[in-house]
Amino acid sequence: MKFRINYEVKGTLAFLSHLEMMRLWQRAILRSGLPVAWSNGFNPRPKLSLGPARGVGIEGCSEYFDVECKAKVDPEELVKKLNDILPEGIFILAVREIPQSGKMLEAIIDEAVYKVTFPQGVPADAKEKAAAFLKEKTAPFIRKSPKGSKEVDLRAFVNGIEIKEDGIYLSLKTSPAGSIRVTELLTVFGYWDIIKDIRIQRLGLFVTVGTKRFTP
Amino acid sequence: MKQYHHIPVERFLNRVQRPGRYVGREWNIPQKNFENADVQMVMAFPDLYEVGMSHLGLRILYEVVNQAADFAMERVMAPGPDLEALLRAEDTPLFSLETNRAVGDFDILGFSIQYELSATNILNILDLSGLPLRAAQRDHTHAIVIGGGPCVYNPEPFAPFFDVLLIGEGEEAILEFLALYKEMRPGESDVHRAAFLEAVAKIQGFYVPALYREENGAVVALKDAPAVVKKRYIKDLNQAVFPQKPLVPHTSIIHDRGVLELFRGCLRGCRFCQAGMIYRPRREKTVDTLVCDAAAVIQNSGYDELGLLSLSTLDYSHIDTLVHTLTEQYSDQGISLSLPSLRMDAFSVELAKEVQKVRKGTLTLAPEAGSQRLRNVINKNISETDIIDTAVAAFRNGFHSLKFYLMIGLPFEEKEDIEGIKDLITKVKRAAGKGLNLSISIGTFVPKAQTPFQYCGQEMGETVEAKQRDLKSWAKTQKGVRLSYHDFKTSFLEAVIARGDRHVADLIERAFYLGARLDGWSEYFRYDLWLHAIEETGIDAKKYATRWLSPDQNLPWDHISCGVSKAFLQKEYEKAAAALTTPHCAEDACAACGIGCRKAGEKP
Ligand code: SF4
Repeated sequence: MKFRINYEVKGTLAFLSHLEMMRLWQRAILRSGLPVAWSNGFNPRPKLSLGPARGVGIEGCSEYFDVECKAKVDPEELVKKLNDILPEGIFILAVREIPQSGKMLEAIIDEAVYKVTFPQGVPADAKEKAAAFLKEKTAPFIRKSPKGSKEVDLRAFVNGIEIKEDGIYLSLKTSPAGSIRVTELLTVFGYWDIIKDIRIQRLGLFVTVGTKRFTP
Repeated sequence: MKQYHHIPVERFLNRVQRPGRYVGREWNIPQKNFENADVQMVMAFPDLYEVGMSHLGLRILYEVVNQAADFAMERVMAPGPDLEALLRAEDTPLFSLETNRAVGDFDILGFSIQYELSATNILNILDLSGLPLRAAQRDHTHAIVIGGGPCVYNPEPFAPFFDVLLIGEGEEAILEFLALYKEMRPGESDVHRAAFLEAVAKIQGFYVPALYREENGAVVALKDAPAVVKKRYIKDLNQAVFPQKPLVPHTSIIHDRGVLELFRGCLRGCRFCQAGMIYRPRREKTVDTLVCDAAAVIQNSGYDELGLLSLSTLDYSHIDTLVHTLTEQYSDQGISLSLPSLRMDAFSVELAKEVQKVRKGTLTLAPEAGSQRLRNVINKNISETDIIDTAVAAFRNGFHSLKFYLMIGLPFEEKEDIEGIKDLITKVKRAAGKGLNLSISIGTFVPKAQTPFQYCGQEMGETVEAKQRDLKSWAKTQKGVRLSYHDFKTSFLEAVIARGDRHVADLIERAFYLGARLDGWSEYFRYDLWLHAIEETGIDAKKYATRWLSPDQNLPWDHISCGVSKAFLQKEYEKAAAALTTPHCAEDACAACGIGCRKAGEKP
């Protein structure tokens, strides 16, 4: 049986890396005593796959991972068993059974929606900046990493930007082939020096089928 | 009521390399209100999180204190250089992991001192907490600063920074200390604080440095503090608290696994080994206790590996029963066991085979010295045949990579002993045949207080480094052999602190002010800062490391007793000089070390 688990990550645990989240789930699943299926090979691991990585420090309001069990499990019991052994800040919201042969989360999720909150309120020029950005065809950005610099076109990843009173809402494209960071976008907006005080939440992840948008 | 400052940690985590070190909220944090306890302590491990959380002692004390309703213990580790820079730039104090409160606000700040070179990290934590570095400058408004761990068996280089040092095991002592704190309220006034410290000094195991003074190279007690502080140890490990609900870190740590402590105290009596002296007597847990610990740890943590931890783990009396029981129970659940290092006999290899059924790792052997004569000097009671046979048996059983630990710069070492290392490796390779990978780790001898070699000076850097180079270039010509060694400068500073007196504290403080941090990490170690500090303070560091002490002169740590008598240490030193061995008293006659678990000559 395969399950898709919907969860949230709040507070300081949002600062865990993708790898650390992976290990967290592996251990949590072992602790829960659920009859999880194991991978074969030299280093057997519980069979689970995570959705697209979140940037470090970004809270997740509606995240996903898939887990395979080798025996029948009641979804409600699964939620309870996991929530009993999860650290403060991580919480399972919902679970549903999915087909055994479905595609990996990473392969189907193509959009992520973020909310950025500023302690001093949304900057006054945000509407202007967003409109100007959306008008452009391209927005080249030099991404620096220990491996060197690379140019990415931020514009190509932005589906939409909405400025509301309580924050900036961003719809960004994501796929295994690439994604951009919210902080990169905020940097071109000129908000670099206030980044340490902002709060970023990933509100949801979506799958597009035709012209319709679904949750995974 | 005391005012505690809460630190908004999130705003720093964005900007550090490994935020996982500081996020806290590990699984199994006790469900208690830390901010409501009568006495609130924060325990510091003066190294990075991944080292601190790998240390069992810290986890044990954490469990002991947090089981008590009146007391609470939080944790703090040394910050990485990036977090330190941010905290200093934004004038923010260091914070505890549990409640993110400022470390300097707690009633008590404890330090676990496991390694000499964590000294500057201790000062950094004090400084980042806004506490004066020296006990003499602190008053009743400041936290009481207490330390413990193997390094305090020569407490003097640390003494000026601490209000109290605990000699020996902390499980019982810490509760007595906290209870006394609750009763005497040292935070109320300077008079209360002084009275509290005087009262603490009367409890066995507690050393209050302010109540002692140096006279002719000896440390003597003022007022009615005890002349000799005797270590504390707990009698029965089966009755002692063990963290059956271990904290599960989110970021990867050095020993990222569940842990069982099989016993304390090793009786092999290697003469360089401080742990072998200070943790006596030997106390074992029963197989029942351990099986029960194992079940709890696995169930409560979700770890897939269980480390069997102790000094010379395979000396545990019921090791085969324990290993059989555990492998039977857990190997089909994907849970593996790990052993720190192998004893050198056939039995060990058999056991290693069983233990590594799930995952085959590298096996480690520690012959320590290359020649038989030098192994006798250090009392490593194994023969060349034992070493070769064990290596060959391991190789034949599918362990194609072996790790060897050897030491250079040992007392009474001759040129032939270095040749002996090459000789031993050559023989092992020849006996095993093709396909064996050896990685040889060459350590440098560091004389430690409370050992038979406490009298011995460390060899000079020039000659140690020449030996390192010689071995390295030899190893390069050997197929399948990789040889590495530690930077001598590190070993040198370890020796300075391990055998220093109170003056060495000035050197540590100066090095800290010059910027020395995380000296145990080669990427952060700045020897130039230490040289600078040596020059500025005029402290003859070399003298502390290299001087030979006479058994009839006063030692800076004579006021501390680990239970092993000075007479025994002296006798062992003399036997070392004559290359005579003393048998392992777990299997042979009692050698009358002074700890008194048996009578001299009595068989086990
Ligand atoms: S008292 Fe005797 S048996 Fe006990 S540890 Fe010392 S030498 Fe060994």
